[in-house]
Amino acid sequence: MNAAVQAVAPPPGFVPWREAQKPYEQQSRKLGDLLQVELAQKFKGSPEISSSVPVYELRSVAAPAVAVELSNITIDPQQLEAMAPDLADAIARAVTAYKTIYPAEGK
Amino acid sequence: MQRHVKIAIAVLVVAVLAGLIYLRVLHQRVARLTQTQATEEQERREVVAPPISTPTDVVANAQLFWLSATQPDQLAPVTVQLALSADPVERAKQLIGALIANTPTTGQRTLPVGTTLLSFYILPDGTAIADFSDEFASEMPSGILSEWMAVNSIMQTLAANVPGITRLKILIHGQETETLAGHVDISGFFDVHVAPAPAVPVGAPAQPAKPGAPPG
Repeated sequence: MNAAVQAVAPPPGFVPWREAQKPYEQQSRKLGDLLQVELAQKFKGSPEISSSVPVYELRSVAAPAVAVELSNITIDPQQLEAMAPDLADAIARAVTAYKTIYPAEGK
Repeated sequence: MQRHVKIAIAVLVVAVLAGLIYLRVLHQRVARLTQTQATEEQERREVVAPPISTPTDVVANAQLFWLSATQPDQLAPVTVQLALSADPVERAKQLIGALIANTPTTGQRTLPVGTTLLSFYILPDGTAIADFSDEFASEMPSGILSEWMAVNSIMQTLAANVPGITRLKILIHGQETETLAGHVDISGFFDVHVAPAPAVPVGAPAQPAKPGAPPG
């Protein structure tokens, strides 16, 4: 287990919704890194390191959270659909690995 | 073969040939139209955002961050000779203007071509406020990567060329905006520091922008 990543207790009292993700940033990065490794194995050309980006939709999520951007909308929909099984598998593997490595956080 | 079948085939062949010729003409027209639009855009830019020159301008090498020519999902610095002011505010305006107007190739563009920097301020604590025209949001291709590359190219360019800027606030037409084009949170402040361009956010962990009170 990585000692550097501490389990985060839910903050007491009210938390502004737009800051809900803040206590979980470190875990989100860990989850993102694990997911990126899986994606890099499944999809050629994917980088091996994830990026930290202030994604609007995730700021109110009070849990480790990542956003996965597959491609822009100009890609062929059939091509996108063909990616689905590998993508689902990569996400499942990453979440399983995260819960195994950081059991206290993988609620 | 019957005569009317021969005639039908001949008509079809002529139609296909005519179609091919028309397609070629159409292609040339589209190419001409694209060129005209680019020229019009350049003319419009010269009226809306004329080049900034100050008495302290000195031609110097500036590092501007556009999309990499080889890896279009990453930023790469390009050294460009620019007349840069000694005044950090004017210098930043000149750099952002060049970032919009002097893109090496269309594929390397990070900021929409119609974007104009309306105003730029630097507060005493090192906070820079960049106010962009509506086109920055409305013409931005929606997506985490494209939006982040736009914000990051501004941050990296300022960090590399304007000392003293510690963080950046982006406004759209004088207003605070939640997102750039639906994904990247620009409601807070971005820390400005020289750092390598990030890898592609195929898996992008959440990191909300630091919320902060609007300046003033």
